[in-house]
Amino acid sequence: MGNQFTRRELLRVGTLGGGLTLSGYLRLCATETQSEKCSKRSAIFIFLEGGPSHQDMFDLKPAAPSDVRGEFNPIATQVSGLQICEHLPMLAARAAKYAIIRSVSHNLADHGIGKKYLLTGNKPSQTVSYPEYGSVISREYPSEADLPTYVSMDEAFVGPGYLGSQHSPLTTEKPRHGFPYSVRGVSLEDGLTVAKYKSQKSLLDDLDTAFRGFEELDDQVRGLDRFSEQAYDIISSNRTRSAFDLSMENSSENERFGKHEFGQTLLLAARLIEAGVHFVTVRLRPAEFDFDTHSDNFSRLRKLLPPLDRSLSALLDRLDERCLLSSTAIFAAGEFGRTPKINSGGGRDHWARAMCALMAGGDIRGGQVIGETDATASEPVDERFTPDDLAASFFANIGIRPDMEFQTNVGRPVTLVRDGRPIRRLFSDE
Amino acid sequence: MKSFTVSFTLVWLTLTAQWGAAQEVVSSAAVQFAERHTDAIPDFQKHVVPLLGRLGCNSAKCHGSFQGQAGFRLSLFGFDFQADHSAIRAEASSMQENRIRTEDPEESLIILKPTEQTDHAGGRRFELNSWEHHLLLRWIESGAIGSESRNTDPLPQVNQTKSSPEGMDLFKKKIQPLFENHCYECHGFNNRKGGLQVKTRDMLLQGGSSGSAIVPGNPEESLLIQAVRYSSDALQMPPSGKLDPMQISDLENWVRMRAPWPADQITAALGPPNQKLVKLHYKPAEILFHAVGDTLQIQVIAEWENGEREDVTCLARFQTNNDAVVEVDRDGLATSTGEGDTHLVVFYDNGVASIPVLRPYRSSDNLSSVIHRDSDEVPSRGSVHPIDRYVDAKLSKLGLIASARSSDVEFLRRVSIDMTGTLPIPQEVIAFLTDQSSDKRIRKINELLDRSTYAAWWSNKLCDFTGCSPASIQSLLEVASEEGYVKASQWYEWIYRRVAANIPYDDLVEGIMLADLSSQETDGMPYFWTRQSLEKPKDTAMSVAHSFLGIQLQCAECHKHPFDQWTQTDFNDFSQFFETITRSKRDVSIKEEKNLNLLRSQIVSLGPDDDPRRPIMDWMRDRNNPWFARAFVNRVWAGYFHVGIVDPPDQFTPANPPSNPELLDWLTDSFVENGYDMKWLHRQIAGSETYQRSWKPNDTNRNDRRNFSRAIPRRIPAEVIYDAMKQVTAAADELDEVRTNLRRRASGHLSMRMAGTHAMKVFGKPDRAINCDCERVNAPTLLQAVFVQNDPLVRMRLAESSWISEMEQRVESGASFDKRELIRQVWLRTVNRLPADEEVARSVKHLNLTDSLTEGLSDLMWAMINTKEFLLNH
Repeated sequence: MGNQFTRRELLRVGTLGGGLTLSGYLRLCATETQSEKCSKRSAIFIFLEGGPSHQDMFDLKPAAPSDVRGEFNPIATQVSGLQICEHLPMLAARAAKYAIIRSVSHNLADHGIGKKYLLTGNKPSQTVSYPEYGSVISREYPSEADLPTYVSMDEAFVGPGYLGSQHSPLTTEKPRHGFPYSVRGVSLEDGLTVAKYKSQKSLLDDLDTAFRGFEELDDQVRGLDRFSEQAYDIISSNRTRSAFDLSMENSSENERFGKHEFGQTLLLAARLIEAGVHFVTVRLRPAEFDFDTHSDNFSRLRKLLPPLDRSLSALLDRLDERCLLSSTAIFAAGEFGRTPKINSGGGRDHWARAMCALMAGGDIRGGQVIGETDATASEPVDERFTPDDLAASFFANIGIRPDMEFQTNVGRPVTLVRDGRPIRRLFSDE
Repeated sequence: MKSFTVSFTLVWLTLTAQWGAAQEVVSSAAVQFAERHTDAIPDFQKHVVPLLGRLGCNSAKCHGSFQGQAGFRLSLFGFDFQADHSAIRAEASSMQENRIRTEDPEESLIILKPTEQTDHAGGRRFELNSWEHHLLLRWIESGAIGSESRNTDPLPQVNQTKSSPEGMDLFKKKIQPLFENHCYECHGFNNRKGGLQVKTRDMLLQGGSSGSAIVPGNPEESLLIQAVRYSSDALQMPPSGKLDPMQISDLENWVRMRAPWPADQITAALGPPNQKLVKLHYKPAEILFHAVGDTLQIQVIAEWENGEREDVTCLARFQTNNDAVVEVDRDGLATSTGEGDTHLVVFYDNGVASIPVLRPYRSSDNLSSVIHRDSDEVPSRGSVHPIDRYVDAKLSKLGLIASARSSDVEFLRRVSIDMTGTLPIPQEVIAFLTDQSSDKRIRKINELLDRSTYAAWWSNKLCDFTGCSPASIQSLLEVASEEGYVKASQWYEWIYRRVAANIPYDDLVEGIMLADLSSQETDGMPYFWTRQSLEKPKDTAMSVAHSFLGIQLQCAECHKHPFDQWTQTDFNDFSQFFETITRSKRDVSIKEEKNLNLLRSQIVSLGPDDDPRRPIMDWMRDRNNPWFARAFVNRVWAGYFHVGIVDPPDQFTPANPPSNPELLDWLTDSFVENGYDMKWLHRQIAGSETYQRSWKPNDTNRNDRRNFSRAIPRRIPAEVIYDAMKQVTAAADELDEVRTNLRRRASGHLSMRMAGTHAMKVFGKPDRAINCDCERVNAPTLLQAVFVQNDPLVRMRLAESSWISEMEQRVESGASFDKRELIRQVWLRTVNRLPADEEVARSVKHLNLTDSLTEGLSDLMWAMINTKEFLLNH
């Protein structure tokens, strides 16, 4: 069966060296699908769960009627002509580092299916379970053996879908400032030391003899051996444990990211990427970081936006300082936007016809706004993009062809992002 | 229930290797069209479409894509002859040329492009002056005639609405975006508030609970217009706010223009093809290779309903199911690449045929010594079990020698896991080892079948097959509600009672199939039908086919099934059975008479008040049904062997034939003869020598994974691992409780609660969210290794082990203890055998090094549950 799998593994996708631009990349890969020399890059996906209010953050409409305009004022940014919300001053000062896409629009204004849509770039289906972004990277761009490829903080919502459970993320609890950080299955708890762990492992190695001489017999035997060694490497390696160890950060760095969950999570994301983890999903559960502002939209955003502002700014700065921003694709979005009209409870309800997304790092040309919504931020005018297009752009920025094809277990070919095309203007050369 | 009439009018498409009576066979297209000038006229269905398929034109990457390619779209994998014909006849949008120029065939785009006389992204598909070239030219010059449908009025009514270009323009620029932006949230995708969906014109005409949404030509009478005008308080759409006056007037205009809708967006009922393929004959019937590089040409002959036979080798498509055994080129030349067996698959029209290919394992020539040794180890058992007879016949054909019989401890552990999802406990292992009677294995099988854990484990499996998911029962959201858990538990218990009582399988399924949806007071299990995921009749159709027939229809929802005979028409017809059975409806009886094709087995006439599920149930339990009993038998087999006789077990297609058809036939027929007795089936399978073979290979069968010549080591399933961790660490007097209290077992009632938890996700327990047996994943992963080595749950089980603390107390109380005995217990608990001397020695060494006995035992237990011997069922 092993070779049947290879036979079905239709695609070997090429990527490219650093200097190549996206359109160059797309051109090259259209012809040279076997090119192995090109590099993929790491990525962070920041999911702002609940549906962040686009017109109160990145697409303000100061001229709209008061029941639409809301309570916030726009402020100028580093980029002339570009304005964002007054409660995002630090991001405003870094507007050249990211691109805002204002004309994202879809029609799944329900948390369950909307989240699935944004987390996979494909509309949810009854017959195919699509993988989330990190699982694709887990398959296409594995990290070194003593590191996990894909870390999700916290629990993954969608999972690896048709790619299979071997591409599930290593999931962790969110780090909380002032508490020792533990990673399920990776941290050594209750006084367990590396030395002790090593002695257990050596006992195991001596006792695990039933299949000695038959290690190559079957996939399952081989797989158990391989993953057992890798798990041991990860758990016992300094590299992984120190990547997860936030206590190694000094207090000014803690301060810079913010001593709240979101800040600590992004700080950890940065550490993981620096250590060589290839993909991190940051998804704070609504209980802690809830953008679903059906009521009291403005007072809640006054609390939500400052930590977002601080932490995201710190992430961009830190990666930039360490020359990693150009090799890390960043994508932040929620599942939809919110209604133009403010409701009687001072909130805004679900609204998928307009929403914003933010992209940075890699080949993204910062300092630009893509697309525009109408006077009440209800609909894009002219060009509009879908979550599929966002996903395609994100994959392209990572160096993975969004039109590559996989095979589901039932042998059905599935295109990675079926209905999306990369938004070309996002990338530096256009 | 009223009677209904069943008439067997459709001929079951048979695929056969027999050449029929010597009839004249029309020579192949390659011969007929070898010369440019010939009298032969190509037929669209028989020649042109298969040729396009073979050239790859209608593949998903090219013009078969749902977006088409360069403005030219063909139906994926063919079989929508009308659409394909009109696509070919239509003017090419991008150029001033026609795809077809009957007056000047050479200038037709469908000639210029694939011969690369003009730019073609798909490259050159055939050479100038080839037979392909001639065939297409000849078809064009003879008028480029398509398939005439038998249907006098093949196109749905909508097409008769003359759609002006302005109408199309209005629809595409204004109306469609308006629907998408303002209506789809509630009336699109999977949502149908008020019963209304606005995805097609038909759906608007059909309307929702308030009636038809549009009256073409009459805006004033159209509910849609009244709603968007906000003219009445009762119906105001969209609820988020009134549309702009411009948008409202666009809608009014559009309705006034009789609501034009582009033809390519009409989900039309497809007309049947004009000619019916009856048989696809092939030669040879079976291919036997002996060496790498051996070749053989396959010949394929199509037999049509009118008796006509034609050599279609050059028009067929070929595929190998394992290119490590055989490769096949596009002309049907097979080449041996390795030892083993597989199938070559031939596709033509809607026929699919599979040709067995075998190449015996070479190393078997000089293995008499192995045969000797093995036969010594097999105790003579009188008559050979039919299962073993069929399996051995296949093995000897392939030159495979079966592995030796498993040891008693291997057998006990294996059968306990496969049959009851539970590890044996120490005293059971000892008792089994000391039992000297010759029938102890079959007595153990019978004993296990009477345990509640058998019923629990196989109910859990039946819940997998039928999609019992707490999340899907109650809501579309990802989080299951309490009611979802309650209902899922009722579903599980309903099955459990029947499996425990060994109710015949067909009766069990009838309880689900014919469940009364109108009342709660019923013997049946209605939740199968009321799942949120069964939004449309099509979803229900796919679900029924998957759960009870082991077939995957989903491909045919949108295009011809590429590996199966199913077309969209078959799928649409089957879906129509379920039109009255959507999850929200309580009355399932149909309202008007209709005749429906039941997966090409028969035409079913349904009258008012009939429950449309009944003829399906009757057909399923007909002993000639090709799938119903077979699918179940095969799934049970796969539960014992890690691989089905048809594998994957839910892919019964002609392109995926059984590895041992005689074996599957015998099991199926005998299962039906024995009154669908599930315990009988389990007893036969587990009682066979085939099941009881060792996993250890001999020189011949290392690479055999599909003929059951040895056991295949496989990771124990998620629920079993979870329960086993509890069991191996429990104190001796708690073992019974741990094993039998189903309410606290992941393979029992806890199954539903635990779905979606970290441990279950890591070990691949299915969510039961999609129709696929592949949802359960048994492959090892990194996270599993991380879990078993260091997850808090595992560490907790060890730290809180009541067995270890029991031992510790014994030591503290001064009782004498024997380290060797404790070590023995660890082995009996985890790998269910006695330790070897060197294993004891290594363990003693470790116990002597640790500070406390607790620590030492905990280390030992940790090490043993991390061994492959523990994690695998072998």
